[in-house]
Amino acid sequence: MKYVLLAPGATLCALFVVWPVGELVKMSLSDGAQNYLLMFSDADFGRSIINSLIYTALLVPLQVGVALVVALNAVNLSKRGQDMARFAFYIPFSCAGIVVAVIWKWVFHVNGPVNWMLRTRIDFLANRWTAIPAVSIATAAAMYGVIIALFLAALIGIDPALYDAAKIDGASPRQIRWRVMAPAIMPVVWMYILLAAIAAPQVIEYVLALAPHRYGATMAYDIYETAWLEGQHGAAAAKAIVLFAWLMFLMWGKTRLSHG
Amino acid sequence: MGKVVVITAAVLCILPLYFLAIGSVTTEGAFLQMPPTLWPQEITFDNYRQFPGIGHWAGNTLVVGVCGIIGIVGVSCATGYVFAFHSFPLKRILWPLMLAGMMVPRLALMIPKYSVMMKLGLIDTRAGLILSEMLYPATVYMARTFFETVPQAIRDAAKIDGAGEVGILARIVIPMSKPLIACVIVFAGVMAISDYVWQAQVLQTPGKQTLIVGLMQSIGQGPGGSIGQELAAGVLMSIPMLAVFLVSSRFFIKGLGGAVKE
Repeated sequence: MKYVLLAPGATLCALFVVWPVGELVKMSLSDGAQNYLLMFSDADFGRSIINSLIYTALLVPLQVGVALVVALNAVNLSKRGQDMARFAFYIPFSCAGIVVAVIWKWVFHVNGPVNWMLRTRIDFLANRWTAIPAVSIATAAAMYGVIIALFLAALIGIDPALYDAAKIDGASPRQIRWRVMAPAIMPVVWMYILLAAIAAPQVIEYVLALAPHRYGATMAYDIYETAWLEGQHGAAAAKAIVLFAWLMFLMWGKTRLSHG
Repeated sequence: MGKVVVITAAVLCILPLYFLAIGSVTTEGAFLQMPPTLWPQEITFDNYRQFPGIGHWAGNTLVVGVCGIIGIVGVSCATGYVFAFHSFPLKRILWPLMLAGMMVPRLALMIPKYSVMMKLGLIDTRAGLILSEMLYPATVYMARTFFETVPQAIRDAAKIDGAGEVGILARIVIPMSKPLIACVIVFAGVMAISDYVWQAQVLQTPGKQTLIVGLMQSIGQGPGGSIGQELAAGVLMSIPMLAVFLVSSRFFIKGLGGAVKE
C-alpha cells in the first residue's frame, strides 16, 4: 500500500525533475568541461555568488526571525485575533510576485514614500548596496503570510501540558515564549530556515522588476541573463548545476545536523 | 504587548498593498503625489476597463487553480506520509530527489522541462500545465515535517482498529494536521495561479491563457502601459489568491476545537 501512495510523487519526480535535470547536465557538458571552466573567469557570475550570500544573510533573519517573533506574540491572542493576524499577513502574499512589483518601485522611488519619510532623495534601486536590501524587503514582506501561518500551525499543535507545567513553575510569559514554545517548534523553524536559504539565491522576480541590473543580481538572475538574454544555454546550464550543488550541499548539511 | 508587535508588523506589511488598491482607483497624478494620499479625492474605475479578455482568463485560472491545488495537496500529503512513517529501499536517495526540484533555478530548468513536456505531448494543454506543477517540493517537505509530529501511538491504535494506510492518512493524520493543510493549500495556490513565466510558456493559444498571463501581456502591450493599469492588474490578480485563503481557512483553520489530547 505504501508504494501506491508513493507512486504519484515518484512518477512526477522522474518526469519533471530527474529527466529535465539530466538534460540540464547534458546541456552543461555540451562543450566538454568548457562551460564549467569559463565560469571561473566570469566576473558577473562571481558577483552574483557574493550577492546571493548577502541575500541569504538578509533574507533568513528578515523572514524567519520576524515571523517567529510575530507568531510567538500572536499565539496568545484570541481565536479571532489569530484569524485576523493570519489574514492581515496573508494579503501581501496573495498579491505578490511580478504583478505588484510596480508598487515596490513606487515605495523605493526617488519621489516615493520612503524618501519622503526620511527627507532624502536616494535612488535606492540604482546602486548595489541599497538595491539588495530593498529587493530583500519586498521579497520578505510577500512571504510573511505563509511563514507566520506555518509557525502558528506548529505552535497550536504544541501539547498544552508542556507550557501549563512551565506556568505552574512560575515562568513569565516571555520565558514561556522563548524557553518552551520556540524550542518546541524548532523542527519547523529549521525547515523554514532551510527553505529560505534555498530560495535566497533564486530570488528573481523582484530583481527583474525592481533592479534588473548586474549589480543586484542573484545567481538565478545571472543564469537567466546568460540563458535568455545572451542565449548561451550551455553556460547557463553549467551555472545552474553549480547552484544546484550549493543548495543540495545545504540540504545535506541540514540533514546531517538533525540526525547527528 | 503581544498585540502591539503583531499589529505594527501587520500594518507595515499591508501598507504598500493598501496604496496599490487606492492607486488603482485614482488618477496617476493623484497617486504620485507626496505625501501619499490616504484616501483618494475622486474615485475612478477607468483602470479596470482595459482588460477585455478577463472573463475567459478567470475561467481558465479557476480550472488550472482548483485542479492544481487538489493535485499538489494530494501528492504532498501522500508523499509526505510515506516518507514520515515508512521505510523502503532507496528512501535516503529518493528524498533528496523529491526536493531537488526546488534547488534548480526555475528559469534554467525551464529549457529542458519544456522539451520534456514537448516529448510527452503536454505543451499547450491545461492538463499538462497542471501535471507539471503537481509535485511541489516545498509542500512535500512541509507535509513530512508536520506528519512526523503525529504520535506513532495514534497510528498504531488505528491500525489495530483495522484502518488501512489510506484510511489512516485520510481520517487520522490529515484531520490532525488541518492548519498544515491550510498552509499547503495556500502555497499550492501560488504555484497553480501565479507562476507567470511557466504558464506563459506552456499555454500558447490565447483561448487557454490564464489570468496572470492575460494580465501581464495586456500590461506589456497596452497603450503606454499606465501605472494605473498595472495597479489594477495587481488588484485583479490578488482576487483568486484571496479566495484560496478564505476557502482554506474556512475549512481548515476553523473547527480546530476538537484537537486531539493524549
